[in-house]
Amino acid sequence: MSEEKKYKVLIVEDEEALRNVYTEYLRSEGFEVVEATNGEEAFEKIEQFDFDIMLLDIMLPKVDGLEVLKKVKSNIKLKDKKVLLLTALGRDSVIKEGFELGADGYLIKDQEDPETVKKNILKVLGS
Amino acid sequence: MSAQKDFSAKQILRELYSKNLELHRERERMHQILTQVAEVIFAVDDSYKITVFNSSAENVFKVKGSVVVGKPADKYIKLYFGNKDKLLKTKDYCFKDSLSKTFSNEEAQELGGKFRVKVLNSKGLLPLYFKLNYANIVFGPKDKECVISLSNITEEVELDKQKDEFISIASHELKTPISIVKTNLWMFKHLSKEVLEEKQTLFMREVDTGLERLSKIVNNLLDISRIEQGRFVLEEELADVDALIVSTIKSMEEVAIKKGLKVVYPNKKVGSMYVDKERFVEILENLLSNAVKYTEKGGIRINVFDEGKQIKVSVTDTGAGISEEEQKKLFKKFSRAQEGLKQHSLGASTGLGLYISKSILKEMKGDIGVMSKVGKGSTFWFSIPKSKIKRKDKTKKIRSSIITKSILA
Repeated sequence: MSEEKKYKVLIVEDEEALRNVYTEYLRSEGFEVVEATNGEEAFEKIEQFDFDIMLLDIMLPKVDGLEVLKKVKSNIKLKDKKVLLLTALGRDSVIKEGFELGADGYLIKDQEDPETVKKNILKVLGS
Repeated sequence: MSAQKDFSAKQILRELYSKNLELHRERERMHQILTQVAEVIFAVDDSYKITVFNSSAENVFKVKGSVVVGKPADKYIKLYFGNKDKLLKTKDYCFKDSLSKTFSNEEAQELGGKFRVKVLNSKGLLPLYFKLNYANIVFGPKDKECVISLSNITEEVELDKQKDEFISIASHELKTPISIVKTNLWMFKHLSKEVLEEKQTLFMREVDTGLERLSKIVNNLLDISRIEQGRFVLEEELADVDALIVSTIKSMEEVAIKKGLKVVYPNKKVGSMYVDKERFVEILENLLSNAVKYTEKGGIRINVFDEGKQIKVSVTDTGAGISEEEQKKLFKKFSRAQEGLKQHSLGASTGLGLYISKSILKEMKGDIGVMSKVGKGSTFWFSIPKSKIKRKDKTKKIRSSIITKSILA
């Protein structure tokens, strides 16, 4: 990643055991990471944290990921922020829905290791 | 008795009377069967006017037979099929040999052999499913009737749905723990790259292989439920088919060579076309891994053919071959279920691979098949229509913003 800029990542993921790995790995690679464990918390964090990219799980307790996505992409201040969907399901019609709502890409949890996740983050951010 | 000489009017009359009675009884019997039977039965003549309308039909369509007989069928009989509830008119299927002229390919596939329909009556669209059967009866060139029966298959359909839902939920619930194990294992290896001993790395590799297998089975089950629930999505993009084929063969070659098999690459090229790369690779991988799995000596030859409107890929092996009987079962769901999850040197399989491949190809408007003789090896092939442009717009958004991903293992 570029040396002059420390990218800020907001991870919205309810599974602690997954979130921990992504966070630890991305931090070790020089990213600034903030976590949210559900949709409601994500709503709070997007107001407080000026992120560059959000890793967003689709199946979340309380408010689901697509709702969070909708909120981000319909907010004038936030709509240019990048969003990568995280899905356990894989290629499914829900992904299509996500793209229609403006997602910038998706990652299938059991197919992408943290390093691939990082590469995709950098790709979406255009580095 | 000298019956052949007895032509008295009285005798003829008696004979006529008894035949008439027999006929009458026969008609009455047929009529009773027709009215009493639980199936909905109605018939139309060659101008699609109703000729027969039994009591079950009266119940289901909420209209009296006396009202509808002689009237145009499509005025009273409203049947719908498919996910989009398309209207099915009697004209669409009665007296037809083939449905291909009336329906688009997609619709014909939806109707398939199933002919599953829903009924609309004065109370609205009924929450029931019927299987439609029809038979054309031709009395003469201009005298024909089509008899249609509807059997209530709601229970069957509901059970099927429940089963699909169960598979869907079960496999989804399995996906999360699999991702957790995979991701944490990756991190563990990442952090302990230099400190692991050779032996430990070896055990770790076994864990990886096992996980990969588990993951594949769960993904197969999920694909099945997607296919059955109509949630299956294709992601087409312009792809160099020849390069895809070569890289897929390369990824499988090692196992084949280890078994002492010769692998022959295609000697022709077909160029680029719009195709779902990941699914294309999945289908070819499936055929290749089957070929390697079931071939003990000899080799595997891969061919590609440019057939103008479509491309064809074939995988020929020198394995044991498959009997005609077995060939018929190959592409069905859980075709190997009777053997259970049989263990092979290359891992367990669910027997779903060919069924999934067939379903994917159906979505792609392609086809898959096998030619084989016992003792002479097998050739599995699949074909995909060539398309220089994106076939449909429905996945455009996904395609344009898709991220390069590692190919499904």
